[in-house]
Amino acid sequence: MEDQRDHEELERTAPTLHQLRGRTPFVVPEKFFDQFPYVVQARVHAERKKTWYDWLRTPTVAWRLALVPVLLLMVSMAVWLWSPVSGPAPGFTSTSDQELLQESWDTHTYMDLLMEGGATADLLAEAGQGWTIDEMDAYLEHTELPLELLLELP
Amino acid sequence: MSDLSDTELLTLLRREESRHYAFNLLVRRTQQRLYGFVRRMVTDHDMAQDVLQNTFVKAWQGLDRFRGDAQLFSWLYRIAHNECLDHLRRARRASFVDAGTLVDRLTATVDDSAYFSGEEIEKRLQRAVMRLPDKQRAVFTMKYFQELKYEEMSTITGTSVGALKSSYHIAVKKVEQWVTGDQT
Repeated sequence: MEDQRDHEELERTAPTLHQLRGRTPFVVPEKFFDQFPYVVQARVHAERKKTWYDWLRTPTVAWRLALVPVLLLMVSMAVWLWSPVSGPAPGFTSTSDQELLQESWDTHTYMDLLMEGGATADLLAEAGQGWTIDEMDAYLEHTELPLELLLELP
Repeated sequence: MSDLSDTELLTLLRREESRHYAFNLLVRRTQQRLYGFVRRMVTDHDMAQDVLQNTFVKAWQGLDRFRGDAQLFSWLYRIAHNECLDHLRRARRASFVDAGTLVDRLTATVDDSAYFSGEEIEKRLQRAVMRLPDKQRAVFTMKYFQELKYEEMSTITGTSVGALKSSYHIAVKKVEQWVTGDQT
């Protein structure tokens, strides 16, 4: 009943389509439908042999997984580059640039005054805040003063 | 043996020892009709073959979930319908082309006499059918070429009968116009 009604309506509304109805112009390779069930069987068999992790091998998934370490590396580098410095490196104390300049000026001025006044190496070592004799020697050599003059015992 | 009813075939499919045999019968019984639908949907034979293989593989994998409340053919038809739509979507995504470009490529096979034996008017008809959006093309193909009833189509597509009728009538008008007019 429904079919009859559909045919009549199609004839009325779309006469060309009504005329063309029922034709099958497609061609399939010879014996295609004889062989197709075997092709399906082979596919089914192949699917059964697949393991649970086979989905990882599909090209799309494999590409996404390959990108994971690259992304992790990029994120790590970004964090390392942009993270604020929160304190001195291990084993170092924190001193501002201003404090360093001030301390350096104080030490050198005091040392220079001592040397001008003819101080001995021991006194200079004391003023040098625990420098060794070798360190003091290097300092004096740098300031072009002969060590012998300063090492003379009183 | 190929005259088995759906119920008998289903009983064989449920038994482990006869499952492969029954499934083979099911494939032989339904392959031509399903191929006709899929081929109309994609035009290209190779793609139709891929879609049909995937359809049967998915049916095999889902046999245990088939409750038997629909006909075996309708159930297979629904899988084929969904597989067609998915396959076309995937093909578009994989080749980075829009719907029109993909359809043009697929429709080009109607000019290859090895795969298409129709006259010029039939080529025009297939080109016009391919111009329909995927879902409307499925509705048109089911009704016009495969002569399914609206109730069956509703079971297959999950769409109401009213919506299917409306979609089909619009499709008929468009295809008739494209086939007869100069706009093809």
